[in-house]
Amino acid sequence: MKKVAILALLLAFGCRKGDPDARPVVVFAASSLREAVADVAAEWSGKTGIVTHLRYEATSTLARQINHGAAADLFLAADPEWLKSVPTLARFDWLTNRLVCVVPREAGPLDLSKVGTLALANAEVPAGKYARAALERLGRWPPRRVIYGSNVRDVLATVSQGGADAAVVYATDAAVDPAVKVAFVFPEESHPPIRYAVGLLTEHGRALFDALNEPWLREIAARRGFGTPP
Amino acid sequence: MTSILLSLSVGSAATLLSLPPGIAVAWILERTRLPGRSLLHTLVLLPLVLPPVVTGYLLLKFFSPKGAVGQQLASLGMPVAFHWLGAVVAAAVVGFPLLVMSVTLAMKGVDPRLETVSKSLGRSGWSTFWRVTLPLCWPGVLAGAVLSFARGLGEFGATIILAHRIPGETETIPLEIYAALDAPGGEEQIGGLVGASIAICIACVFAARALDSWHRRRLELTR
Repeated sequence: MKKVAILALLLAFGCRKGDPDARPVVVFAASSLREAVADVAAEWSGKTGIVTHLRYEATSTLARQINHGAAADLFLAADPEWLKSVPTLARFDWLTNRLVCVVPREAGPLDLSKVGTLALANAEVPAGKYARAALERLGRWPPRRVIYGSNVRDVLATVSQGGADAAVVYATDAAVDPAVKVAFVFPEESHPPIRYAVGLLTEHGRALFDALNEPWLREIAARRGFGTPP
Repeated sequence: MTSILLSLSVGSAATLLSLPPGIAVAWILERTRLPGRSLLHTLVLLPLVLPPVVTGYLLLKFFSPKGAVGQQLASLGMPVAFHWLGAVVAAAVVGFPLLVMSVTLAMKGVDPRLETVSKSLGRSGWSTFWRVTLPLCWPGVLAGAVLSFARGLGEFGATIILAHRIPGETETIPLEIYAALDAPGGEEQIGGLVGASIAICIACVFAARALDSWHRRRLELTR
């Protein structure tokens, strides 16, 4: 009986090892990509039958996890600088975005010089870096009181929960939260260009990596409000 | 450095805030036959085992700036969610079970016959509590206060949900360490904070144990 059990275990694990394609493709994606990447992955999995495993966090957090040995096949970063900090086999620029200031839906017109509490992403999170650059450029740094969020969706939630008068997030984030509205869009030249970049971390992610670069998948992502790089 | 001082101020305020209700609850649990005591006991212990993030979420729902309680407190100039007081409340709630457990134990050690004697000599129940029970168990109460202070000092989960990270206001030691870990080169900057956390907590546990054994020695004398 014992021998049979051991044999069964060996067979079960042996089969798994023999078929590496059965392992899901692990994708680490910036928080702001949540809906877009879910759409894209569903479309791609439907076509190829390959399962994906998606994890969303701040680009900076994901980069740290990858550098600490977290097993990911693809890294979709909100800032190419962070992508450079991890070892990649190949990479390309994928999407673009805009930076906006959001306020609660019921709020009146916004005067940036009079905002009491502003929600921002941590300084090393791409959304926080872009926001600080833009606020500095507009002469609005430092804000009176800042609530820091660990990723851009955390920042968005701070406004919808009533914790801040305004927040600086991406245009695509503002679009997914009905509790907020866009007060204004930051001028594009007020911050470094917002570029999402895809990095290939293992050969196992190659098929999805190549597919992401094709127009049909890029267009599915763009439906969520992202731009495509020139 | 700011976050160390802030942690100490949040922890102290939380301990002061929870001492009166903590002593009251411990007295109810230990010295009364009130119906529903076991339910009260369960509720009191809950923050000890509940995921702190769940505690924080429930507190945020209760103190939400969009809710009635949150708006009332804000209009009184005491906003809790997304403010310093939120960090205090989070620390107080998670430290409360430790306080109540210590105080209950300390009261258990006090010989009830001494209270009976006091009452038979004409002291009221209230006066007996203040003049007999509390003086006899105060080192134990202090030990519980120190433990709940140490627990509040390290509060992270409930704090980040209820108070968020606001530098100089709610950014206590654990929140600053958490933020620094994500920053490039941040790991080199947190050595002092990690050291301070360990030092403060060792001092607290040591103090709590010393107070507790002092409490036991004092009670020996009353027997």
